[in-house]
Parts: sequence; structure tokens; C-alpha cells
Amino acid sequence: MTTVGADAAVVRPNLLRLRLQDLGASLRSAIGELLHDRAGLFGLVVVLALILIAIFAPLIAPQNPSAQSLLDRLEPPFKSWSHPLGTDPLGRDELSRLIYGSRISLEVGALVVAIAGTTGTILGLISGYFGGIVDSIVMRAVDTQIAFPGLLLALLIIAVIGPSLKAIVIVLSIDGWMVYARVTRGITASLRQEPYVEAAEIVGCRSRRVIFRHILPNLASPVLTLGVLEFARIILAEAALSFLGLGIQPPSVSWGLMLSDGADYLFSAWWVVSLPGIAIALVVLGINLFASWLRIVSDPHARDKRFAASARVGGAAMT
Amino acid sequence: MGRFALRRAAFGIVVMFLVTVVVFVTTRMIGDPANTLLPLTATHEQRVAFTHQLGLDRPILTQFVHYLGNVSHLDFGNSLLQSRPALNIVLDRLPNTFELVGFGLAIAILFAIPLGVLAALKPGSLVDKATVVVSLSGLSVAQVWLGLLLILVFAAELKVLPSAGIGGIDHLILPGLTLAFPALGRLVMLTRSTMIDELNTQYVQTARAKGIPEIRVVGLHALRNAAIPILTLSGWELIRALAGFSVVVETVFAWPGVGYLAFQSIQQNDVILLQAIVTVMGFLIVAINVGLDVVFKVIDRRVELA
Amino acid sequence: MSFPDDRTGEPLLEVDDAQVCFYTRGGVVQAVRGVTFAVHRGETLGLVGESGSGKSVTALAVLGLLQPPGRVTGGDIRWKGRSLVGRAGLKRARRIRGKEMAVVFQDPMTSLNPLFPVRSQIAEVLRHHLGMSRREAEERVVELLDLVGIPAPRQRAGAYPHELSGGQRQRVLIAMALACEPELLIADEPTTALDVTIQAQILELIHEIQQRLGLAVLLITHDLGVVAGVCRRVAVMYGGKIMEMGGADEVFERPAHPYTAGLLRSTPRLDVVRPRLVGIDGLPPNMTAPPPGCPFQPRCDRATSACETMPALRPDGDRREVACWHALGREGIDATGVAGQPVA
Repeated sequence: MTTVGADAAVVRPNLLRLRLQDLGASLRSAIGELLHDRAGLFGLVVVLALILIAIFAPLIAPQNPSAQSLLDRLEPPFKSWSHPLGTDPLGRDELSRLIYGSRISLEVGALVVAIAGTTGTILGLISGYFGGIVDSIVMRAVDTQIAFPGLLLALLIIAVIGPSLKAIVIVLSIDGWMVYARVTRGITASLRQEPYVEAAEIVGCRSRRVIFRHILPNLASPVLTLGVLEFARIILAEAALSFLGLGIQPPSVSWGLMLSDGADYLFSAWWVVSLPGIAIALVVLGINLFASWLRIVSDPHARDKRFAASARVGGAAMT
Repeated sequence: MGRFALRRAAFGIVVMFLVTVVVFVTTRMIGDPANTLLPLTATHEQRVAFTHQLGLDRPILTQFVHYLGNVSHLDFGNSLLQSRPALNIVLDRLPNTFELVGFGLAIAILFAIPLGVLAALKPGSLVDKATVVVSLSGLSVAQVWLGLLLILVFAAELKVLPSAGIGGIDHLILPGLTLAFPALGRLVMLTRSTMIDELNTQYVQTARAKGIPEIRVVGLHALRNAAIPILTLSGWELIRALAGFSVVVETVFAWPGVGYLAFQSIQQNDVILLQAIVTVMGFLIVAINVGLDVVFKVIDRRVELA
Repeated sequence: MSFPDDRTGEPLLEVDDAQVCFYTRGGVVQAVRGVTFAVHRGETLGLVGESGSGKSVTALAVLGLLQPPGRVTGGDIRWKGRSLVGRAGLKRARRIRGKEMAVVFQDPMTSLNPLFPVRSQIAEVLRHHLGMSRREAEERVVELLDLVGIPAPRQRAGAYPHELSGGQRQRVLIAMALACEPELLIADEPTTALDVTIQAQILELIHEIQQRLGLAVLLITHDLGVVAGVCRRVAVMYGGKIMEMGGADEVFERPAHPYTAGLLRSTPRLDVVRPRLVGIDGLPPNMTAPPPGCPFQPRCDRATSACETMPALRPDGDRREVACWHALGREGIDATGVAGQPVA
């Protein structure tokens, strides 16, 4: 950028202002979309609620989630103010357990998405950008691992190293990076062929600049959406593993663990199982809806498609 | 075509080998294998004897070669608690798992495709909205909870269906539904969106322009093209179920399949049995994967010829 | 030049004040706002207009292929006197589609089903409308492929669409349209998606077939050159309405509507040296809120307050109709493309 000189100084601030304007406009349209799209709104509310509840759990929860009380065991919900959602077989307050359980869900989800997402994205980026042998190796690794029996191996590993939060994070991360790699690699590889990337390379931009400036911004939206979707899947996976006794161990609280607690008392105390189940369903549903809204809003193609669907022959109306 | 099949088969064998490696590494190299592989109640003498018997005191590579040799004969040793060859125990239970997974997938596909097609034909209608609801529910509920809920409603309250175990078709319904539901959710969503895309294509427009009845346009022109991704996903769902999601459902319903066996073996710390399960299922899944790859290549001629 | 032989007898296709609207989330798009024309047996009519003028929508309406959210909201469309509008009309339309009235669409690359060989896609029409057996249909397919100029038709019949070039695919589509010997061929931008050289070939093919079979052709395009080669008559559409209609040669030599003049002016020419390309100032109208009166008014340099009311199509000379209060007189345009100069 040495040749443009004084003009550059004039041009660049304008570019910045344009970018901010763009951002503002797209944010406004996103919010507009959101208000119109009640499902997306619901999703956003759920996601925010989850985060807030998890963070402020100690302040919100009425009781200590691990406090047992044989006197109060198996109290039905809506009967008393001290246990608004009833108690479990050990007399622990359900509401507090639900609230604290959200922490685990959030923690596991965030950790796994962060680890698997970062690893997968970086590998996919390198693979897609540099192509050749690197690409072959990485993609071969992805294919191989996808062919593995994921959950079964997870069971084996956890059986050996012992169940814990760390264990499920490790196992789910190992099982989860491939999808990021595939998606990222696909986008990177096709972007690599775009004329403007070629132009940047011809002009002499170094690989790192090309990657950061041209490729990464295009990856942000799909990877983000993918991460959110994966987050939902991880929550379900954690619930399943904890139910089987392979995940979170007492005295920690997890929704999956609550499910297994309640399984034995299914017929006599339906709420012990139902409450965590409903919580999981609501949260996962909300996250899925949020993810689909996110995709539509951040990816211009998907946005157009949505309008095209409703104005399908409107396209033909234009000729 | 044949070359492709060969390549995929070779790939499959490599993966099987890697699965064996991973299982070996996990059970022999993490911590003290004797601790891992023996029940906690074993005495010191038993440990020493066991260690020697399994050759755990020999160099790791020798162990591996030995292990590999055994695995290629499908000799996994005897289950610690049942004192029978682990392989036999797994094979005994395998048909039950197939029965459950087969039934579940059949339900999923049987309902998903018509529902998805209808939703695509009438976008915005009640059917469409109901389909989206079903699909989202399928993606959002924990299978554990769904299973327990179904038991609560149908077995406890309504007393219509049994809550556990294997038996006639009435025993198959609840676990089958539980297994099917998430798959149904995914399949319906895919069918619907693929059909919508298909119905928007130029060639469907051309077909309509020829004056052909709409049923044929949808059923032949649109659906045939949509079938490819739908079948691909179905294959993937099959593998998912076998790769471990049957564990949860089988456990909830105490369905005597391989998944439940895995759960029991963890509870009883019978790692040898678990090893066998993981390896056998791993091989099975790889084989199915390769098989499906080949089948889909044949179906999708367009890709092949292009 | 008069063409009495083109317009004998009852018209095959009558479009009578047709109106088409699309009910979308962004508003109601009035794509076609009162279009009237007729096509007689053996006649060739070109429907010309830019994107958004409503010409393709008109074709879809004629064929009964409008999908929701689009609908015919007014007027009538008649084939051999029977209506094609409304529930019964749409049923009738489906029966004659592919048989008495056929269409070739714009993009040959995506118009054929990739999973089926060309032969079966053409045979499908034959077997459905004419009840042919498989053997009969296959023979006819080979004949048709030969008719449209596909070399080695018997071998090529079993080909899949992706094995054919764009030009060849378009020929296949034309063969498919002609399979049941229709009386009207509607061609919607048949050459737009093709290379220039192939364009010429396809147009030549259409022209030749039209002459040979005595087909009526309704050719829809934005390209004036395409019309000039194939059509005897032309109708110019803008903003959902017809601005001018008449013999193609006459209209191009002496356009009566300012829009037509503008179109002709802005066509790049190889035989005249011009300092710059001329366009028509302004933008096409917003069809969700079209201006009252003449849609071309905002861009017309002859517009007055009278143009707030839409003029009807009125006769202007021999076999010509114009919808304009200030139609151009007998001046025509000269070689430099400037309107208002007397023709030499």
C-alpha cells in the first residue's frame, strides 16, 4: 500500500465509516428480522437466560443444591415455597439443582466447542488453504475418525480413565473436531479460488494476511452457527453420558445426573425426571432456533433464499 | 467402479486396524492395565498371575502384535465375570440390537419421507408447521428423557405397553419410537428442505410444462433427485444408532442388546468384554460405512459419470 | 408490407386484459397489468421488454404454470376460445400443455432432469399425451432429435443431459416441445443463456421449424435483434403493460412509442460510430407500487400531465397500436439513432 499515498489517508477513514454503517444497518435489519421471527427471538431469549442463570447461579438458587434432607425427600412441586419445584429422592431442592445444572451444561458445552472448534477450524483452514499433501493428510484423518464408533469408544475411554467433567470434555472434544475441519476446509478451499484472493496473492500479500483479511471473515458466520449447533448437541451428549454414570459425578449437579436419579423413582415421583428433561428440551430447542436465526441473519445467501422461498415466482415476476 | 470399491475396502481395513490400536492403547497403556482389566476385588496374587497370563509384563510392541493376532481371530479372551468368550457374549446380543435399530429406523424413514414431502408441497400450511414442530422436537429432546417419559405414560399410567425387556412387538414399540424420534426429526427436516429445493428447480418446471400430472412430477422427477441425500442421511443414521446411541435407549428399556451389554460391562468393570464390544461394533460400523459408500456411488450415477 | 395470411381465421391464443399479481411478504407485486394480444395460426409474435416488464410472467400465465404466490387476478386467457383461467381453466391448460401449446425455457443447463437420459424425457411427453408405446415413442424421439439437428440421433438419444453441450440441450428441449406437434410454441428467452454463435444457430433452428411446420410462435425476449430474425409482429412491454404493437419491421423502422425508440437507440450498433452508449435515464418502476398512468412517464422526455392517465392501445397507422398520448409521428429514427429526424 505504498503507492496510493495521500489518497489512502482520505480513503481509509471513509472505509471505516462505511464498515460501521454496514454493521449498523445489518444489525438493525437483524433485530428487525428477530422481532418478526418469533422463533428466533425465543431462541435468543433462551440462550441469554441460560448464560445469565449459569453465571448468577449462586445468587439465584434458593438452596444449596447438594443439601440433603431425608425429612423433605420426594416432595412434589408447587407444594411449598422453600421447594417450589419439589425435591429429589435425597431431599435436595430441585429448583436449585436445575439452576446449578445449567452451569455444567454451559461449562461442558463451552469448553468442548472451544477446544474442538478451535482445533477443527485451524486444521480445516490449513488444509483448505495450503492444499496438497497437508490437505490429504488432514482430510484422511477426518474421514478415518468419522468412521470410528464415536460413543462406544467414548465409553471405553471413560471406563478406563474414570468419569469426570474433564473426561467428558476430552472425549467429546476428540469426537467433535471433525465437523469443524470439514466445513472450514470446504469454505477455505473454495474461497481460495475466488478471484479476489488470487489477486491479493499476486499483489504479494503474505499468506497470513490473506488468511486473516479475506478468508477468516467469511468463516466467522458458518463456524459460529456450527458452534452453536454443536453446543446443543453437546448438551444432549453430556446428559446421555451422565445418565449412564460416565459423566459428571456427585456432588456436582448435572441435568443428566438428575435424569438418572429420577429414573428409579419414575413411577412414584415423576417430577424428578421430568424437570431436567424439560429443561434440556427447552434449552436445546432454544439453541437450535437461535442457530437457525443466526445463520439466516449472518449469511446473506441464506437470507436471500428465505425471501426467495416466499417470493418464489417473484423471481420470475422480475422478467 | 470396482476400483472405487477396492479403495474403500482398503480404507475400511485401515480404519479397523486403527480402531484396534486405539482400543489397545486405551486398555493397556493408560494407568495400570491390571487395575483396569481386573475387578477391584482381585487380590495381589491374582493380579500377578493375570499380568503374566496376559503377557502384560512383556514389551508393549510384543503385546500389541500378540493382541493383533488375537483380534484377527476375533479372540478377545474370556469375559471376566461370565467366564465365557467375550465374542460369544457379544454375538448373542447382536441380533437384538439389529432388531431394535432396524425397527426404529424403519419407523423413522416411513414417517419422515411422506411428512417431509407433504410439508414441501404445501409450504406454510398446517402440515408444514406441524412437520417443523415434530422435527425440532426430535432434535431437542434427550433420548433418555423421551424413553422415560414414554414409559411413564404408556407403561405406568395407561398400562398399555410393557416398560422393559424383550418379547413380542409390544416390547419393541416404545424403545423403537425412542430410538426413531431424533432420527425422524433430522430426516424430516432434510426431506422437506431437499424437496423444496427440488420443486424449485428448472427441470421440475419443465416437467410441469410438459403437461404431466403433478403426482408424477413430484414422485418421479422431484423425489428421485431428492432421494439421494435422504438415503445418504438414512445410512448415516443407521451408523449413528449402531455406533452407540442404542446404548442409551437399550439401557433405559433394559433391552438385551449390545448397547445394554456395554453399559452392564462398565458397571461391572468387565473391561475385556467392553473391549470386545467396542472392537466388534467398530468393525461392523466400518464395514457398513464402506458398503454404503459403494452403494451410494452406484445410485448417484450422475456423480460417477461426470 | 401487409400480412393478411398471418392472421386468418380465429386466433389460437387470446390474452384479454390479463392481470397477474404476486402476493409476497414485501407487498403485492403487480407483474402484469392489463395485457391484450392475440396469436393466430402460423403467426410469429415477439414479446419484448426488459427485466421486470412482466413478459415472462405473461407466458407462465398463458401456460397455467403460475405458482403461488402468483395468480391471475383479472382478465381472461383463451385457447381456441376456451378459457385457461380459473380452476377449470387450469385443468384445461394442463391438458393442452405439451400437446397443443408447448414451451421452451431460458436455461438449457438446468432444464433437463439430470437423472434420466434424454430419450426418456422426450418419450415421457409422447407417452402421456399421445399414448404411444415405448417402442413407438423411442422411434419418434430419434425423428425429433434429427429434426432439431442433433447429429447421430439414435446414439445420442440415450445420453444423459450432462453429456451434452448447452446448445445441444436447448435443441433437445425444442425437440421435447415439438414432440406432439403443438400449434403454438412459446419460447421464453431461448437464447439468453447461450453463446452468441450458438444463439444464432438456435434462432435459425426455430425460424426454420416455424416455416416448415407452420407453427405459431410466441417469442419472449429482451433482445430486439432476436425478434427481428424470427418474428413478423412484435409487442413491446413495459411496467406490466403493452406499450406498442405492430409489424416487427415497421416498429423497428419507425417506433411510435418513446420507450421503443429509447430501446432502439440504446442498442449498440456495429455499423455506426457513436461517441458513447446511450441508455434510457431512470429506473424501472417498482411493481409493488406502480405509478398511476403510463409506467414510462418518469423516464420519458415527452411526458406531460396527460400521462398521469394511462392511454389505451390505440390504432396508429396500418396494423399498429400504440399506448401513448404523445406517440412519435412519422419521423422514425435515423442511422445515428436520434429520434425526430425525417426518414430519408
